[in-house]
Amino acid sequence: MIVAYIIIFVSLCFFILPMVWIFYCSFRTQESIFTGKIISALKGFTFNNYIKILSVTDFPRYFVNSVTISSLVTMISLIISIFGAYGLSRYDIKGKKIIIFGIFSTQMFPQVLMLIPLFLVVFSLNLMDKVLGIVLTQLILVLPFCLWMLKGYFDTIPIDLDDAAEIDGGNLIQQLIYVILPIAQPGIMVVAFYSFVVSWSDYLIVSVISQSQNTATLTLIMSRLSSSLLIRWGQVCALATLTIVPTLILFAFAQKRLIEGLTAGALKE
Amino acid sequence: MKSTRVMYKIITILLIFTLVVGLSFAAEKTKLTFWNMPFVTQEVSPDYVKMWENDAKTALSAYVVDNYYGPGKYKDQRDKFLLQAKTGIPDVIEGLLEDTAVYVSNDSIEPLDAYFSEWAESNQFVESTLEPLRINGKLYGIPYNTNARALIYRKDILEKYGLSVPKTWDELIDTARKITEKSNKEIFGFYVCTEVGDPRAAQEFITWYFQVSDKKNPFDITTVEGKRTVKVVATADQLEKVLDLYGKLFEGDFPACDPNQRGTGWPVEDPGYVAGKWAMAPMGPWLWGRRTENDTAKDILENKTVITRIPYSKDGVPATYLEVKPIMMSKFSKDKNAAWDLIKYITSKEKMAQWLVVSGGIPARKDSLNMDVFEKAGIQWWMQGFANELPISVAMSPINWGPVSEANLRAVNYVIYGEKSAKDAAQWLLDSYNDLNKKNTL
Amino acid sequence: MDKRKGYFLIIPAIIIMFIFTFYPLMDGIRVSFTDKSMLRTEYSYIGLDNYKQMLGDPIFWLSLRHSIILTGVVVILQLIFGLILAWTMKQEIPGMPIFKSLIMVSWVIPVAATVTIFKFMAQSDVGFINIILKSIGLKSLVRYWFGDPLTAFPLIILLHLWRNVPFYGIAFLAAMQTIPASFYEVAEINGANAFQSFWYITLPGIRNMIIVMVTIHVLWTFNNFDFIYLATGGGPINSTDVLPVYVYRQSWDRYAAGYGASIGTVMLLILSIYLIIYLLIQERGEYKR
Repeated sequence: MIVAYIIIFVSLCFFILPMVWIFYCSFRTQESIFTGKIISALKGFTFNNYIKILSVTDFPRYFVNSVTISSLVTMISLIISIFGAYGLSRYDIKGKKIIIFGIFSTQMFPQVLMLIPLFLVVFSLNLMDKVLGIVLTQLILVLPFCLWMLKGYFDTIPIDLDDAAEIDGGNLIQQLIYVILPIAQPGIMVVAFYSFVVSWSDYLIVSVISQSQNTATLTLIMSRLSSSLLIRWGQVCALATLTIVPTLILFAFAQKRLIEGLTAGALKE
Repeated sequence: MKSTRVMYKIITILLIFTLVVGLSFAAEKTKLTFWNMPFVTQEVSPDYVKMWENDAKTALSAYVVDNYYGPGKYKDQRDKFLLQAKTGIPDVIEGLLEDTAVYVSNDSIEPLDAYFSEWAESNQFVESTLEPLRINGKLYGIPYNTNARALIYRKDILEKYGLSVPKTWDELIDTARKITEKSNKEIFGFYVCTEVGDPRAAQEFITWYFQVSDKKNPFDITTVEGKRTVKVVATADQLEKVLDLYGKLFEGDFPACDPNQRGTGWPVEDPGYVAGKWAMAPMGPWLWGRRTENDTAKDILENKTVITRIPYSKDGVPATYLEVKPIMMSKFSKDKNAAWDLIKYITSKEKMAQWLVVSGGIPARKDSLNMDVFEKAGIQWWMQGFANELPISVAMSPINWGPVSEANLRAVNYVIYGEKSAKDAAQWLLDSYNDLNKKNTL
Repeated sequence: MDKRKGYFLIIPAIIIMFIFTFYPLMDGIRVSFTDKSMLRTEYSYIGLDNYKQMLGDPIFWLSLRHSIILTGVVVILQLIFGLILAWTMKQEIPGMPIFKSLIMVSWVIPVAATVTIFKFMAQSDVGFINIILKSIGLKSLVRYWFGDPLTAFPLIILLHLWRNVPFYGIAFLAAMQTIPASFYEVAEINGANAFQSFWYITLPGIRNMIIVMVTIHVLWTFNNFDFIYLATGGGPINSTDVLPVYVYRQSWDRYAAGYGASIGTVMLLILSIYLIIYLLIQERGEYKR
């Protein structure tokens, strides 16, 4: 038990302390940070870092962009992967193995190799600098996991339940909504959360497709600004905090079911 | 199940939210995009940017100018523009002189002669600032700012330690080391950019190079019957001298430059100087924009800084990098007349003067230069300090500098990290030049 | 059941994956046989020249070595620490639920933010690491940790651990919870010690989860671009160069898109070989069962 406590203590220091540190420094003045001490006098604290960041960046706009894009990615990936996984799980499709393997194998494609051709595709579809362009492209990051996860879930639901619903006169949509989804709900939570977080964190795809304030996301702005704000660490910390906090809030709500669902689903493969 | 209902509620709310936001984005006027790094990085103060945006609303009332000014790093901006210019975004792009040649070879910017010659105010532009922007006889950018690199130093620190202003490389190294030693590394004597990919690092490298090459560019361009050939004229000996300087700057127990800042660039150089972390640095007038940052910065810039000639090699000549900052127009802009209106607004007499009063810089227009705003702001001494260096400044030749500068800084890094001797690194660098030239990259 | 309905359900996913991954990938591979440059629109096919050039490119070999070492070390360490963490979280001691909910946080935040946090922590003057070092009298160790060729690479490894170990821990924990408690009771009766019951019961019990986690993370780590690109860009000198960053550098710093694509194609080949070996092993495992 002592060993366990030591491990808990060490891992808390390692995993949580860096975040506490930047949160703490985001309220400190430049001078206070430059003293190179951990604790500083009360006058070393300020809200100015946040005020400055909010005044130089169009923060509300980028926040809205991020939320819009991530929500759309979440919803579309949910719809596509629920139907897709249901199809893979319930129907005797020819080449099913190839489809599953094909989709999973995209996880090994190097993104850097696809970057320039991906731009050409998005450009020829006239989707550059559009929310839809980013959403559709980000789907490739999340779909393989979502399909795989949900298929695992659906496989565990006895097929008799579907049949019973069908006999009661329900069509496919009704079967899904009344029978399958409630049972697979933990899995759906995981998939939704995963999609949201991956989309929120994405840097590479947004950096290619976004060209203006219409589509720039918070993560993109953060990584860009933090390289030009160097040394003004207070502001950098404020910016990082602002980017992190939304996912943390979401995580706080989803956390418990997430951990259950994530692992339960993974085991079913 | 209760939790299922909650989930559907959340999804519905998200759906409504996205619809509302999506509809509110519908724009009506011609939209113009202007990628302009100094507006992103606070190099000009956020207050000025706000004012600039407000004035643009009245001056360019027929258009909407996007308040997103691009990636905010010259390298990212260039990478993105090279790939994506054909999307028509941005319409107008600010850049480095070095970028112009790259965009021309990529065929993504528009020659501006036709627009420029019809502009009544075109005669106000100083010819020497237009000249570097003419490639193959065509004008590819409207200059808004020019400067030459000088050395800025903290007179209070030099006085305190009884040191004199360095004039040659040896004196620079010696003076800087003494400052580092006497302040016990609280303040480092000098700072020089060494980050691969950093534009300032590339410009500082070429400054030292011009001094040992008798103001000649490392590449010769000849155009015979429309066919352009590039020849490498740099010698290993010249390159070795420059690389040796870098090596010495980071050498010793009390080195001239902070070894912990190896591999950093301008985002460290400028704030570091105004925070008092180094006593000397090669610099241009933009640093003035930093005085609004805090009281320390204001005090250092207004009361403690002096501008002087950048130290030069004993067996070389005084020389420095000439900077001309162009505003360019995308060849793929969907409304070129609108884009030209935006360029005229950016480079108008008042806007150019106001910008440079705030951020420091020498306007490319005579009438801007003659405005009394500079005198009122009390920065004439500052501008004059850099203007004094214009006669010894050299423009970089119109080649594709990106890979060359990258190789230069790799060689510098080999030396300052002790991976290669200056001699070996110079040979490696010369080989890289020849290799790039062989592959027609230049 | 109606087969057509099945196809109809899966087709949207297939279309999106095809347009946005398979097609760009094929195009990327095609470009690897050309001398395409970012500066010009016209290009020509040059056969295997890019691949020949790669054989004689020392930085390619260096990046390849770094990539393999990075992936190997990171995944093995993640596995070990993940198991330790899972074992810890399985202990029913006070405060454990809070700990479990806190620990996953590092996995949730954007990579770009992670890099920024660590860059700040590693600063020579104001970084947390160095402040601590100074206060315990190890001033000689103080440095900018990303700016030193000796420490930059280990720090990158640390970044990967920081992000992913909690995820491993939680995943392994859940897998462990599916092992019936009676197994351990029987082992105890037969006189097995803690290590033996871990080795003979826990490990086989979570074998599937280990395979899944390792597979996913090998692919993820080998292909990961943003950690190193944002943290060091491959520097100082070439000490953190890995293949994805080198591909990007060739395409953008040297404008050699064709050559960059050929390196990317080699990355794909390496991962394909890995995946085939994985499939073979898995098939044999299933056959045994």
